[in-house]
This record gives sequence, C-alpha cells and structure tokens, in this order.
Amino acid sequence: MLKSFFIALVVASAVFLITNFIGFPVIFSWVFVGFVFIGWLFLLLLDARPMAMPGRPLLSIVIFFLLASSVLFLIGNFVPQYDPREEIAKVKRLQSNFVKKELAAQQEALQAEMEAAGMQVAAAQPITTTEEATAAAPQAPSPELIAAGETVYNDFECYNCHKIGGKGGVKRRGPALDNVGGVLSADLVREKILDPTVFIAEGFEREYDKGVMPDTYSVQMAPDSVDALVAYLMSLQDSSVETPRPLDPDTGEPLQVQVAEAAPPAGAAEEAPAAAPEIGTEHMPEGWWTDPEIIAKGKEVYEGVANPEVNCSACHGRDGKPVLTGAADFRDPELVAGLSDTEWFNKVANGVPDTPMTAWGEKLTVEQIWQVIAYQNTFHTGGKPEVHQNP
Amino acid sequence: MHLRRLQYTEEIMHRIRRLLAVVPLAVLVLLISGGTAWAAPGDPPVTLPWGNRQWIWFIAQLHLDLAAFILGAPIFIVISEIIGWWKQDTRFERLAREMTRVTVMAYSLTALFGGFFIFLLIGMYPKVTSFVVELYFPIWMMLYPVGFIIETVLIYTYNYTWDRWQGARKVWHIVTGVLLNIVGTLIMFGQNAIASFMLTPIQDYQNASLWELINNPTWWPLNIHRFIANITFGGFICGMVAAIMFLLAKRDEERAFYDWMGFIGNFIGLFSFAMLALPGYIFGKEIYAYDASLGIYMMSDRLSMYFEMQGILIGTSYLIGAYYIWTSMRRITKSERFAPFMKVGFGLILLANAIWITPRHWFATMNPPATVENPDLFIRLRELPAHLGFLALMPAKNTAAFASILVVFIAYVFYFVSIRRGEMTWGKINPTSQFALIYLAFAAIWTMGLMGAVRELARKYYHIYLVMPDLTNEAYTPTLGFASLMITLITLVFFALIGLSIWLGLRTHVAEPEAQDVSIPATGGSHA
Repeated sequence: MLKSFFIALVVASAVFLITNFIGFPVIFSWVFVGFVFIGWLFLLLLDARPMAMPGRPLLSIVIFFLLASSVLFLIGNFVPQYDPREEIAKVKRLQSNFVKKELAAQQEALQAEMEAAGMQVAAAQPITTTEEATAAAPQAPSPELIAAGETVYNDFECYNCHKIGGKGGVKRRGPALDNVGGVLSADLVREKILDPTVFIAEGFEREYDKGVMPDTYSVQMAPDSVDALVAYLMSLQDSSVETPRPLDPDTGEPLQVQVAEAAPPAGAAEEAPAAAPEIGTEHMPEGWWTDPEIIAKGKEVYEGVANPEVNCSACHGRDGKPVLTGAADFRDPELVAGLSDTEWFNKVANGVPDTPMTAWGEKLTVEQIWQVIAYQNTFHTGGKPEVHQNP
Repeated sequence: MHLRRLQYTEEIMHRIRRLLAVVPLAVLVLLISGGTAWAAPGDPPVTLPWGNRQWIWFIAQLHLDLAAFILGAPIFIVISEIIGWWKQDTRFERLAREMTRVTVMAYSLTALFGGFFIFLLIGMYPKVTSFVVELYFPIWMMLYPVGFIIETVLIYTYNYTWDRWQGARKVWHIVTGVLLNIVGTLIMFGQNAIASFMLTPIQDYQNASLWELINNPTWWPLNIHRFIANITFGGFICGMVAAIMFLLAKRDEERAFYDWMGFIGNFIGLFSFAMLALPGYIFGKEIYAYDASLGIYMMSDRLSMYFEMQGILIGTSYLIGAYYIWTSMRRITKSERFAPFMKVGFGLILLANAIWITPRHWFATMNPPATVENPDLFIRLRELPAHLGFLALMPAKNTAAFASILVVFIAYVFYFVSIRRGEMTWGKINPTSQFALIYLAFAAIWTMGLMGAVRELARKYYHIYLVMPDLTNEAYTPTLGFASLMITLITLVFFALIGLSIWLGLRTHVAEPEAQDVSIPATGGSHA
C-alpha cells in the first residue's frame, strides 16, 4: 500500500506540474490531483480482499446510506456557491418590475376600454412650475438612471450573451456592447430590446436566423426598466471595442443611424429640489393631514402622476392593499399609528434597507413626501382624512 | 411459537395491505373534491414553517421518485415475466413477482404523496394552481383520475391474480401487465405536459387548443427522458432491493437468487442509463432553442454548480457500475486475464469524469460576484484560459460520456466472454458488490432530486415562465448547499419508504412453498 501511495504521489505531482505548465489555474490542478488520489483509493479497493458478510447487515446498510448522503451533502456545500443575498435583492427588484409591468398593462387596457366606451381619459397633470417644466423637457439621462439601467442589465442577465469590458457571455451569441452608444441611436436600442428582429448585428447573421436573442423582454420589462436600460447602453461609448453596425434584415444593407453625441449626465437637473426652508422633516406641516388639496396632491404622487419615476401604488396598491409581498399595508391602523411623523418621513425619504423600498428623497421634494404621507393616512380610515396621532 | 408469531404478523400485514388498497381510491375522491376548493388569487392562505416552497419541493420530489419507480419497475417486471414464461426459468418469474410486491406497496405511497402534493399546491399556491387547472382541466382533473382508477385496478389485479392466472391463463396476466405499463406511461405523458408547459409555454397559450398546450417544445424530450430514466431508476432500485435481501439472507439458495437478481437489476439499470445521456442532451438543447437565456442560466449561471454535482454523480455511477462488473467477474474462473484491461478502463472512466466535471470557471455565476475587489484577478485564478476553453464545451462532455459508456459496455463484453469460458457460482460474491448496488440506487435517487430541482429552478423567478411571475418571498434560486440539504433529506426519506415497501412486500411475506424448489443454477449459463 505504501508503494502504491508513493506512486500515486509521484503521478499527482506530475499531473500538478504538467497542468500548471499547460496553463490550468491552480484550482483546476488541485482538482486533477484529487482525481489521482481517488484513482489510487479505487485501485486499492479493486485489489482488496473480499470483505466478510456484515454481522448486522441492516445497520451496515443504514450507515452506508447515511455516509453516502453525508458525503454528497458536504460536496454540495464545498463546491462554489453564490451569495443568496445578491440573488434575493435581484429578485425583489424584478418582482417590483413585474408588478409595474402588470399595472401599466392594466392601465392601458382600462384606458382602451374607456376610450372605446366614449369616455374621456383624464389628461396628465399640467406643468405648473419651472422645475417641473425643466423635468418634462428631453434631457440627458441622470447618473442614477444609468446606474439603474446597469442594474436592469444585470438583473435580466444580458451578460449571458453580451460582453462589456471583456466580461460576460462566453460562447458567441451576441455582440460586445462596449460602443453600442456610439453605433446606435436610443430608439434603435429600445426597438432591438423589445423586438430583436428589427435589425441584424453585422457578423451575427446566423444568430439572428436562429432567433438567439429572446423576444420576450417586451413581456418581462416594465417601461421604466426599458428606459433605464436604454440610458445605460447609450452611455457605453468605448470606440476602442468593435460593436457591429446594424443591418436591414430585408436588404442586408447597413441602416442609416443618427447617433447622438455623448451628452454629459444631467446630474444637477435631476437633483431633488431643495426643501422649502419653512417645511421641516420632523412633523407634518400644520393642517396638512386633513387638507383636501394636500391629499389630492399626495394622491398624484402616490399614483405616479406627479413623477412617473415614483409610483407607490406599484407595490402598496392603489387602495393601500399591497400587491407586492412584504410591502406595508396602509389599511392597517396599528401599523399607521405605530410610527411617528418623523419615522414615516424617514421611511419614505431614506427607504428601508434590504427591501425594495427605495430612498425616494432623491426624487421627491420634502413637500411631496408630506403630501403622499397625508394621502396614505386616509387608507386606514376608509378615505376619510384625519389627524395622525403621534405615539 | 415461531409459526404463531409468523401467522400473527401475516394477519397484521394482510390488514395493512387491505387498508393501503383503499387509500388510492380515497385519495382519488379527495383529489376530485379538493380540486374545486382552490382559493381566490391573493396571499397564500397558509404559510408553513420552514417555507412553502420547501414543503412543495419535499413532497413533490418524493412523489416523483415513487412515481418513477412504479412506472419503471413494471416495464422490466413484465419483460422478466415474459422471459421466465418463455424460457421456463423460475428465477425471472420470482424476480417479477417479488418486485411486484414491492411496487404495489410503493404504489400506495405514491398516491398518498400525490394527494398531499395537490393539497399543498391548492393551499399554498392557489393562483398558479387554479391557472394550470383551468388550462389543463381535461388532463389533470379528468383523464388523470380516470387513468389513476384504471391503473389501480390493473396493478392490484396483476398482483393478486399471479397464482390464479398460471398455465393457459398466463397470457391474461401478461396482458394485464402490458396494459398497466401503457396506462402508467400515458398518465406520465399527461403530467409531463403540465411540467413542461411551466418551463416552456407556447406564446399564444390563451388561444391555443388543448393539444397545442400539451405539445409544447419540451414535452416530447421530457417524455422520452423520463421514460428511459424510469427504467434506469427501476433497475437500480431492483438492484438495491436484491442487495438488501442478499445481505439479510440466511440461506445460500436465497443468496444465490438475490445475487442473480441484483445482477439483472443492475444490468437493466446500466443499460438504460447509457441511453439516458442522449435524451437528456436533447432536452437541454430544446430548452436552449426555446430561450437561450434559460439554457445559459442553467449551465453557465446560477445553476452551473448543480451540473457539477450531476457530473460527480454520473461519473461515480459509471465507476461503481464498472466495479460491480469487476466483482461479478471475480467469481468466474478464468476471468483474471481481463483484469488489466478492466483497470485501464477504470482509469479511462476517471479521466473522462475529470473532463466532464471541468467547468469553465470555479465560481457559481457567469460574472464574478459584485463584492470582489479585483475581478480580473479573480477570473484569472478561477477560469480556464482561452486555449483550454474547449474542455468546458459540450463536445468535450459528450466525448467523456461516450467514453464512460464504452468502457462499461466493453466490461460487459468481458463478462459474457468469461461466462462462456469459465465457471461461476451465484451467491459467492464479494459483499462489497452489494454496497455497490446500493450506492447506484442512492446515486440515482440523489440525481433525480438534483435534476428535478434544476428543471424547476431553470424557470427562474416565474411560476410559469414569462406567463406568471413568482411574487413570493421564495422566488429566488437557492444555493447548491441548501439544495443539497433538501435533496439529501428527500433521499433519506425515500430510502426509508422503499425500505418500508421491501419490509411489507417481502420480509413479512411467508415464503411460498415453490420458493424452496427454485433451482438456481450453481454455475453460470446462457441466462446470466
């Protein structure tokens, strides 16, 4: 046995050195060394003397089964794992996306029904302030939107087929996207995401014919996710990496593309307007809990009318009944009464860690935060405004 | 005293068997009535400790394991009965009969777990359950219960008419067995339609006919893969049953019979196991063709390390299968000349397995974790360089699988050549061979649990891919470590259930008088 162990040791060392020399990373070499020793043990088993019949066969069988189970269990835990917290956070974001998508689809369907019935569909809230006018005009995407787009890119696993910065899809399935913002327009990028047949990426004709790129993102992605993803992709303008040009699927000729110049992110314009100095962050302004005008404005914030990027009803429901598992139920009087004004404000402004509840303070003014809190305070009273009693 | 104790035990067992015979019918009634009781869409009415998903996982997988056994075993049971009848070899008849007794016990358990599964679905996932029921009502709520009733009648008829339908009536018995297999297979095909729809639904499902819903892209690949896998599973469980009975046997004649039975079961298992690779590959290809992101999620992203476990299980199965042939040959005279070649074969299997489990990189996702400080270094230390990347692609894996299959095939050729030229004594085999049979069954159970989890998790955060997202807290893909815990627990419970079936079906059964006269050839012959 010692002799065979020595031989196994020599073979294992040779395997380690040769595999390293060939170019295998060390971890692979160690795995191959493991195989050498497994082979050695197996050879010992082959030449071992026959074992005696077990004196307590039932116990032997049970122990053998438990041993095999334990080994498999340990191997399953020893093999590389991924961080489930990353996965959970990603799924929470995706669930939020799905709910928004569903609500958007329901809204569209409702509007279509109303129009078909001859009913007038309510117009969007008119712009009344300079800040809102600035916000409504087309402008370069904010760093936050681009970051959100990168999150969408990762959450929907676009990296499985596309490379950016050398990272991503292994087998050739889709083009590298490092310079997609320099080759395509935002409209073309959006169209390609929602309908992959809109053009062929040059050099990927075979993949186009096989329909490799999923055509399901129009089903999966909420509109704001698409917007964010487009903003992120358009920010990729590294001309040192070749991103193929688009070809017309009918003629095979390159499409004429109006490529926008890279615009600096409009970070300043997207900053939340400064809080009105006379309104604090600790208590609801006097009289706002029951002011119908304030509550009406709060409703517009809550339902995404005041700012399309903020839509509380997507998670908390239009009537306060949550549509996302885990979201706060505003119909619960105990929940509502259990928090002070300050605590409510902080939850909205700063978010709740490890949940989809984002820090909306970056997108809402202090006034808007108090307005939406005043509105959500009506859910547990059946719509009747009442003053919130601080605990 | 011993005889009285035996009679008392037999009385108790007889009562339990009668009770168990009623259970499938009771479950059927509950299925039909329970199917109308699903709750309105919304929060689940029940949230069990340990998590709803874990309960469904546990019960559903046990149901699947049991169902695979009761579908696969009758296939080779009937074939064994036919061979025994044709060749007038009572060993095949006894194998068929004993495996039928175990199968009947397992059948009742399958029904129990199936009913439990549906109750959990209705209680914990009412929205998706009612959605699927609405789409597949004729299949799930009508044909399935009817098929279940017919299968119950057939399996109990098959079991309890064994003595009565002998001689000229043997053909009736065999026809009953064939019908049993046909009905069971059709039931499986019906349920496969639902399982495959949840992963690869057709796009226009709202306007599709029932046939179009059934015939979705992965229905046939799943049918073929499961059909062959059931035979494999049944064969390996038969081998395990024989191994347990061999180790518990007190007489040489018993050991001789169970040694032979283990060989047959293992032969069936390994033979169909070799055929399983291709349907599995086709199944994967169809998933890729449906949506490449699903396939990549499985093989390169979150589920990639699950396939590492698969590689380990399949590789050790080939190795241990070949080891069993080695121990079988050790009881044949003049077989020593093949030993060096077999050792080379073992080395080839190890080399093939090393290639099989070589991943593209030793981390569990497509990209390095976001928390890694130096991703380039992280990748360089764990990923195959470009010139070695071919080892991670399917052609290398397929070659490795083919090499393993070829080695096992050649080992069997050596075995049969040895049989013709030497002499063999059944029952005189190294007991480690029986543990090899038990390991093969264990690996098959664990692999079924693993690949069942992969198939379910491949649809990511959807109940039905692209149709109904999963908005529960448990929508995320669990780590392999957690999945290993679940699969191990399932395997242990399944082992206990099969043990119960063996005990009820075989160990408490008074040996028939003819068992004393079963002539087990002391030496190998053409039936080996």
